[in-house]
Amino acid sequence: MTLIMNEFIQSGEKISMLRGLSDALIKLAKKHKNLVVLHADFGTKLGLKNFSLAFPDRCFNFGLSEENVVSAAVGFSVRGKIPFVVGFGNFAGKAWEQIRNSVCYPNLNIKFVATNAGIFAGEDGAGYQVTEDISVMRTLPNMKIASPADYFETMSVVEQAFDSFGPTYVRLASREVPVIFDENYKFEFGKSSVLKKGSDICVFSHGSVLVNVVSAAEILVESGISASVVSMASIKPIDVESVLNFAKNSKKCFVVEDHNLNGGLFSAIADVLVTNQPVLLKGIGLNDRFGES
Amino acid sequence: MTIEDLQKKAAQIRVEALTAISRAGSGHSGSAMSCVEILVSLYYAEIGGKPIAKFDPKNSQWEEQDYVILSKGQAVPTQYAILADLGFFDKSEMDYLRRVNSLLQGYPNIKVPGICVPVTSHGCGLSIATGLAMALKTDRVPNKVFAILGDGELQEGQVWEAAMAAAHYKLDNLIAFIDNDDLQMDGPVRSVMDVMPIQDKFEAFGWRVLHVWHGHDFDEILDAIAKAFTTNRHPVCIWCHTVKGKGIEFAEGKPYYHDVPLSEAELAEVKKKLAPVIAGNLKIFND
Repeated sequence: MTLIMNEFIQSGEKISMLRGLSDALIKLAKKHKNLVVLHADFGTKLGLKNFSLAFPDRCFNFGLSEENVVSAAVGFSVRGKIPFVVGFGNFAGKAWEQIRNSVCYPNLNIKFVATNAGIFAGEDGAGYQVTEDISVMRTLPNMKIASPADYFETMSVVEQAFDSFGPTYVRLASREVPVIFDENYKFEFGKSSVLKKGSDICVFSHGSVLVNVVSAAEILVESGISASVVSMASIKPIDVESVLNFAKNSKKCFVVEDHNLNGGLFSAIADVLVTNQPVLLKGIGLNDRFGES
Repeated sequence: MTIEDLQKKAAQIRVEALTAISRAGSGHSGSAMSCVEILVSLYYAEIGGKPIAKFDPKNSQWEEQDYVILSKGQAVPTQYAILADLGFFDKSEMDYLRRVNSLLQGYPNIKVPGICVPVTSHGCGLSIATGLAMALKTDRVPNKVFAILGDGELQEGQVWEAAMAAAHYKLDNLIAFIDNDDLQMDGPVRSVMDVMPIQDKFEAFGWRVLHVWHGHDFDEILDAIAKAFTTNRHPVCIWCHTVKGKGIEFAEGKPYYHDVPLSEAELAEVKKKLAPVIAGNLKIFND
């Protein structure tokens, strides 16, 4: 566990996670010739323009064909490439069977990055808000899942995804979010980060709402409640030791996420607690429903 | 190999694949038979003194190999029989087809030496082949990719996403065979969901289409492959008319045999019929 100081939140600086993705991919591609990026006609919107200008022969646009781009990544992987399949919104759900059968089953080294995470994705409404992706990816054997909370965490997640063999799913918010971490932060799969230590309750969270959870914890201090805030950017594998430790030392545990509670981090933590350390757990998120514009 | 040798090899592969399916107690006998000559051509035949597909049974990760992707993955016992015959793995593995913890699972799996890509779902093989052909182009190496698709599989929308991409990226290192046996699980393809006109569709997508009227005739298949090798800047579709259950006299053209094993008596009948062909005393596929 790492104790992170959140002084950046005070500064109010906001940077897009998509810029973090692009910066990390360019940094990695300079060192690793086998990194390729495949996408389905959202290169510009996804912040891939700089990557495609820097590495035109390693960035492939497949047009609006999400199933095809996922399966094509399998072909690239056969030749030792490490493909990042970057897609808009629910593309991974659309190609779920291809990911299951052709990527996770043979345990191929392919990375998926999806945007529009959660109901804060925008005014297009429920159809373009990605609120069940963790649920459908969590159930796939061999799949790792990360949900970073800001620019720097996105950078580190993408770098770790590259370095860590196997299928990986990364979900990103599209809006600009306040910076929480700094350039020295290192994300690790299977490890949580403690943003705030408290003695009464514990709040587990991930993604772009993490910053709101930190703010809420500050407000709770005024009410005399001391809350721990734990960033669970690594949703799978989950940091079992940390979850159990906080459950043991907190009167109540909460999960706050911009995702359906059904199958999201709430379910992942419930899975850990119910078999190890039963504790009262409350989820704040989408309760088996869709979002609105 | 001479044409006669290829015919003998095809009969041998038929018997070995059907035997394995029957022993497993499940599998796609009819579907595995329609693509035998296509696969035997790729693995055993030569054009201009050079093998059609380059491979090394002792090194299935060989950088210079060509890739054979069986998109109609249900026919994989035929590919397994060929790979075992070539020495990629021991022939005894065929006895454990479709068993728990066995090497040879029901659909193509990359744990099997010689199987380079995982194909499980209908319709994804051409996309995988497209990505692989693009990766080879990126590396500027001459390896080729051969994909074998069923005709029912052409009902999958993803096939046409891949067809579009392969033409867009001018993948002349990609050759896709259509094993057009006219039948699928529920009956004739044209009744279930017509996929015709295959030639017009692929041509409209930017492919060169070569027509093999008799998909069990080695001369025709090899002639088409030779022409495909001379094609530049376009992927090639070799459209082969085939027969479901080819080589099993009582099962030919019958949808029932698409996905069932032969009984012991049926298998014995097939073995009896094909034994003289394997021995080189009889040619049966002169169509």
